[in-house]
Amino acid sequence: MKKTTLIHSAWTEPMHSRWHVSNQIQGNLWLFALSVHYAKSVGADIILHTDSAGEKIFGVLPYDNIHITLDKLDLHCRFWAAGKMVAHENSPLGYIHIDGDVFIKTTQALEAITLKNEDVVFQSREYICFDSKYESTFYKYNLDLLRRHVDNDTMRLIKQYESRDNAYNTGVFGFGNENLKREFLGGYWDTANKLCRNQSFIDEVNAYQDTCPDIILEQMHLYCLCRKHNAKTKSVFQEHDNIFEKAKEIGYTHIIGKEKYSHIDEVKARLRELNPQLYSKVSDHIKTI
Amino acid sequence: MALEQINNGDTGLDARNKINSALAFIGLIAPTQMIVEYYVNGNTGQTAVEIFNMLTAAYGYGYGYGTTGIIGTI
Repeated sequence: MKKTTLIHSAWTEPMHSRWHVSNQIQGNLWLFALSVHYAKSVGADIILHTDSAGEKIFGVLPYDNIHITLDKLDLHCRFWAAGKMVAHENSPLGYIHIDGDVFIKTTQALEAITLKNEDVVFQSREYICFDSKYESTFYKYNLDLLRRHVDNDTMRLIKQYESRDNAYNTGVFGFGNENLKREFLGGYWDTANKLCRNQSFIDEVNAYQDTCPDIILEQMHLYCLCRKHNAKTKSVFQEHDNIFEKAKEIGYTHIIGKEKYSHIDEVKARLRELNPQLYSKVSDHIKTI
Repeated sequence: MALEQINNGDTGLDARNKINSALAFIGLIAPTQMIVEYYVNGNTGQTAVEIFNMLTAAYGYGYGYGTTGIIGTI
């Protein structure tokens, strides 16, 4: 059976200031380390796409390959998913990107994210609107922000296909369809580049630290594009799953948002328990960063 | 105002809607919807006010105590 190849991406630029959290690089190194350990333990290959600074930090981890592809990224650092896009651009179909705070702990979890004949795999659907009166502020704010500053094919696509439950969580994210992948990545870059050349957008993003354009350009965009093409999708969690119970059942973990940084001690303890050699290696390496 | 819509004892869909409305009222971008789902559906003993406090605290607004955003276990 062909091995599944997982991808990590580590663009160091957003790791310096996101959410006003300090020492993110070190915290991320521990998270990535445990994520790599779990990936290898279930028999997957795992590669890294990063920048030169990231190679010096994350290069200590036992990746099967490291690609320095992110040095030329020239977007505002709030486009934190850009590294993921470059990684996909430089990877074959079937490679699955997992966030550094995602742990694939069992072969069952690996199976749940591995593409067979589907066009796209993602973690789960995110529910945006609870009813017609109360919309999700998280998505609505960012969607309104983007709409005020750019009008292109991607934003028109989103306008045409958005619906009540209209985004995909991309904690895991892979393509099995080349045309869909190209259209998605093309839309991402066109929109992100236009926004980053728009000073009023940049001013607004700089003024509000929680602004998150990629929640639209990655998650909502992916949903709308899949809907447009009636794509065959696969997700770790299904619509009626209790994701918290099912995650424990299948051995899948995702530590969401900045919450991850309050669990670093647990992550370190788990890595020390499961892989003391890697734990020591990372501990020593962190002293040099 | 939006905050006044939350009442102790609100549960389920009603609580969920009110929490999101209140988060918008204070200008806070809501955390991922799964976290809201978790606190509303996974902890039925908690009131909307308590859930709101946890979510705002988690995002640095200091209204209450901490929260968790973990799916699965470490």
